[in-house]
Amino acid sequence: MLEQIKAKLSRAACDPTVVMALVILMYLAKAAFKITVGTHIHSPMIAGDGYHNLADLLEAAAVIVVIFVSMRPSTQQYPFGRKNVEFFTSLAIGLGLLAMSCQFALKSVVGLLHMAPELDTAVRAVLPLPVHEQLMMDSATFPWALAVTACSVILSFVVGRYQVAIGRKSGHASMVADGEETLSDGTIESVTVAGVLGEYLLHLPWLEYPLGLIVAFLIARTGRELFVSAWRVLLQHSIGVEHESRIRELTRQVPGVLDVTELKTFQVGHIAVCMMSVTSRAGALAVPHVKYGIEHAVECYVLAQEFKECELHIRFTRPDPQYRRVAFAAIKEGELLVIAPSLDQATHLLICDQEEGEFVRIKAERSPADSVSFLVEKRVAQLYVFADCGQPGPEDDRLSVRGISVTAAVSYLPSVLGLAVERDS
Amino acid sequence: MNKFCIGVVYRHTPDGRTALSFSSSLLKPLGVEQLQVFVDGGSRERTALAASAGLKDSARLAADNLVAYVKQTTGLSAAQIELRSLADQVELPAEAVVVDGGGGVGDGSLLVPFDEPAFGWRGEGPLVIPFGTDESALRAASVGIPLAKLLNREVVFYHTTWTNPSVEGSDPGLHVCSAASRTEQLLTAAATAAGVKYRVVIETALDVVLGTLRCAVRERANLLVMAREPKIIHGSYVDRALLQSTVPMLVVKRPIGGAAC
Repeated sequence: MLEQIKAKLSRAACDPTVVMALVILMYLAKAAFKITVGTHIHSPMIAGDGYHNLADLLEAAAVIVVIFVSMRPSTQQYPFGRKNVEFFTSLAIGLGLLAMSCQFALKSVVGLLHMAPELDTAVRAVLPLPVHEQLMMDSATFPWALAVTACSVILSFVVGRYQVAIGRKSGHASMVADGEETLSDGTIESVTVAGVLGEYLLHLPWLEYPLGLIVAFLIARTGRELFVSAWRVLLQHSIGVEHESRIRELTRQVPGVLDVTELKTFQVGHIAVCMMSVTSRAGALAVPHVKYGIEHAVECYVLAQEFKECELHIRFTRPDPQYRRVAFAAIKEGELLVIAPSLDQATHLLICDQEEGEFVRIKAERSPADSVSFLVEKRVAQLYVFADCGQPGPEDDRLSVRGISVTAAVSYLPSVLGLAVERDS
Repeated sequence: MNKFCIGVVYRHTPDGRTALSFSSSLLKPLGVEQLQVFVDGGSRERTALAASAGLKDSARLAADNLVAYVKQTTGLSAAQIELRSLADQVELPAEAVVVDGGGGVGDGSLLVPFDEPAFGWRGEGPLVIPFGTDESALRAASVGIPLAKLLNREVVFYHTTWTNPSVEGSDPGLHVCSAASRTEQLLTAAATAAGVKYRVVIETALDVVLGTLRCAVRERANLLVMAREPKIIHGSYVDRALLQSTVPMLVVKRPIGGAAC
């Protein structure tokens, strides 16, 4: 019984909707305490932060809706599912964090300017800056303000990290983004705590402003990361040059793969989609094994990265056939055939069509009176004769002026040259 | 330690060129000094026909051309190339491995490189030796294990078994029959005795050839070593694997030492 309860609790602790429900509870508690205490001690800063938490509450509810939508299975209309809806949330939260960082930085700058009244006046003459809100606190309200903000900081950090961890584990980008925002809230609140402590314990009321600028920078960085990653997913940006380069490398390591001619990658939710064209000479029976090899290697790699699934689309193409026509000078006697030492000695000309270096069609023609013109007419690019390698033959000049090169065949035997013209007697 | 002998059947075709480069890549790691190049020597009638066209020493010229070509393609010296005629009654030792896309030479083990231009060209990987209930795996291992030792490679012994309905549990190892277990023991003992690192992979694949080839691809194997089972009269795994594989395959014809393992 106890084990069952433990297992249920453990499952619930990893359930994204349960986690988001906890987040809502946290915001409810934070808003209630901050608004109550803020109103009680007449602190507009704490009360205002409480109202800000009410907005966070709505955002958390929106994330739950988005998670439900994203979890719907794929259909014919949505072949990749609706996972990408989460990245709209990430995009919005990223933009929100960027705006929040600007606002926070502005408040900090205004606070710093307040320390130098002359400069403040000069700047305000040029720029319409907001009014500086001085932290108003006495010894009676200090413990309340400190307790509320410190508890809020702890809650934000604990819950934010929890959200990010479960969001990554379950593959919910919107939850990760919301967790990042909660963590940013915690950082801002910790600066407020530093300001409160700085003023009352160290008598350094300005301390919170430079700290605020640093925090604004950190929040802006988080906001930018969220925005850029969501932007890339929504606009089907590639999953990254490094990932693509590794995928190419892994694919080329599979026996049977000659080259990866094309690779397109993009992300749908936490699914990495790879579309590739592979050049292979593998026949119909071997291709499934080559495909399996690529899928195994690429999936192992992709799943070891930040992706939860991998979808591969592989198109196999044959290498460029490199069609060309060559000829062999041959001596034929009955069924017997050998390669002739020169064009003049040839009784026949073997007109051969080549694909990928293999002879796919061979036609034996009787050697005509004007062999050179015949070879030109047949569009032959190269003539083979059996001669000493590297020694030019007598017909080289006659043929080369007509655009046909002469090459020494390695052997006089057709079988050695891959010419299946007859069976040896 | 076994001294292997490496040969190649020469054909002036894309497959022949691949076989030539693959065979030459084996010389250094196996410590073999000469590459035996088997070439069609031609019949007497053909030589006579060539002579009638003024090619009195056609065989010598063909040999010179061939040596020049092999030197240029493989970077071997003339002393490292030994030309042998296929027309001769070729007798090869059990340690002979002949690289060829066709039927090989005599009863030397046949190595089919497919499209791989060199051994381990795509990176270092193990040698996969599939095993079943008969002795063909022991014959394959008698050549595969010494090869792995010389090439400094691991060996993966692969077995796929039918599920035994009377056995509970999904671990494929539980479903292996006693004859296959005995083969496994002999194979692992041979690998241990040779000082070769090994692993045993047991699956319940849908098909033996499918499972074997997928294991070879998954393990990024450099070589798949198999031997024919003489009792098979139709549907040899070796023949099917030769048709489907892209991983270089060594088909062992005779065991080294005359006895399996």
